[in-house]
Amino acid sequence: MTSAQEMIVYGLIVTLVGMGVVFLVLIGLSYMLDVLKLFSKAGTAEKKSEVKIDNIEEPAEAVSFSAAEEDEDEEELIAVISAAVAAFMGRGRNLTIRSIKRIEDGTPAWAKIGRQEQMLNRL
Amino acid sequence: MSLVDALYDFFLTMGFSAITWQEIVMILISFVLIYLALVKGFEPLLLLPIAFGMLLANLPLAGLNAEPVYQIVADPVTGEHTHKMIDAGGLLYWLYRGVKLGIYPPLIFLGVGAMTDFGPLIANPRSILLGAAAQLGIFTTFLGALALNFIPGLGFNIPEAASIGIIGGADGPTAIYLTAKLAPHLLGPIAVAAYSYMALVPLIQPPIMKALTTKAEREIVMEQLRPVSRLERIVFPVLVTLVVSLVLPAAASLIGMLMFGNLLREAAMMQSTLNRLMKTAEGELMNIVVIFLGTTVGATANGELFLSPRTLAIIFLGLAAFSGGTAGGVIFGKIMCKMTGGKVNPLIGSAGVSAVPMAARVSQRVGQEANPSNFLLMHAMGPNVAGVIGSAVAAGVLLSMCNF
Repeated sequence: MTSAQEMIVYGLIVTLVGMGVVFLVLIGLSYMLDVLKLFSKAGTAEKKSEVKIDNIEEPAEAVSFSAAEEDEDEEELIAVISAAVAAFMGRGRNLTIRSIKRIEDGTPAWAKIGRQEQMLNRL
Repeated sequence: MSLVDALYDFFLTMGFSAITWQEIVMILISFVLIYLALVKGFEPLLLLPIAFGMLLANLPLAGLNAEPVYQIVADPVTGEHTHKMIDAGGLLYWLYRGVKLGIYPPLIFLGVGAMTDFGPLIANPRSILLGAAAQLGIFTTFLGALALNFIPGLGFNIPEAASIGIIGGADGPTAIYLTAKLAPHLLGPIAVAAYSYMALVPLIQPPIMKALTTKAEREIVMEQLRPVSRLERIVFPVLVTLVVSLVLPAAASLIGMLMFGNLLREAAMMQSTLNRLMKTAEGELMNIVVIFLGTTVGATANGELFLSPRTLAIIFLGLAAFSGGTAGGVIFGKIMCKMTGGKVNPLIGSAGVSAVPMAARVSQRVGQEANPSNFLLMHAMGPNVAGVIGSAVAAGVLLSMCNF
């Protein structure tokens, strides 16, 4: 394989086979991950309850929930918010969170940009 | 012997008497690289060792790269011929064995695996395809390098072209691993090009990303990723190791170590004693290997080989490789955007070139420029870590098809 033409032809073969194999392997993996997801439904639930317990125990003893309309998916978010509030208020207070509502973001554009810059600096 | 003769003899043992112009130029280039690493912050973790290795290798008469010298002697008693070591060889020669024999890059991958969270990839398995599409740059550059054979005096043979192409994988250890096996004489320029462009990802990618997407596409906000279970995290590395190594045994050492590192990371959450292994893999072991790898790869940049038009061609092709990979990822991202009815932001495609986590940050930044409340970082991490697997697979293909 000495001439430039021959090398280009072989190069094209390598390219086709190469991209083909890369795609095949990764598409295969992608579908296997889908199958894996089906098997691990039970595992997901288990993990969530663990997270909840950890977060409640740490900040204060008397944090209780009576959240109204949150889905199960948001339990983790509630735990995080309660922990943050408890840490902010300090120890030794009884803290009851009745509801958590998402409010419209009324931040002016310049403040948003400033916040983003702060975050990007830390990325 | 007169005093003058003695002084003259001593002068002959000094580096000044033996230095060549190539060595002077290489030492100056190493100064520039040290400057880029320290002042400009170009991947200092690797570029600084590479630059200093380059400096060490080009010191005249120091012999840091010298091979050991053996003499065949007849044993006076038995009359058998045996090897006797005359000279033990230089420090960098021995450290370089780890590159030459393909030991350091998989060890680095062990640490990378221990540091990488594959969660975003497991949560959104389709994003793995973007990691495949972004490998396009590797192969277009491979063809580009072969096309240079039409220019007289600037030819690359197939193993050399494959090593240049792998720069487009934007993955240092993979590039070094493949080049050390296929074209070790090009290791210096290829490593320098790969790591410099990786540092330049925030400059190279955004113009390509913006040129290939509309503002409406860049503004797409993606759904939040689902949480990933412990079971999935544990099974993932084992699964990837099995699938990739069975399809492509040549990629087994890179992928195997990457996934072993990741398994250590996830398993450490279950068995806390494994924390020790994970800490070592991602910490001290990796740091030690980075020092060995960087200095010895830099030390392959020998003046006579490095200072040639081929090096310039490699630097140029490397840029083409990065651009090709970015474009491949973004275009495939657009296809996925169309197919999912606008749920995928094509910007995460560019993160499919590995360069973890820099490429994902670039996707985040460009996405946020278009829509300030857009957070693509975690979505881009999926293709980003898939890119590491993708480029290791591509390296395996090149290794098995271009090794002659």
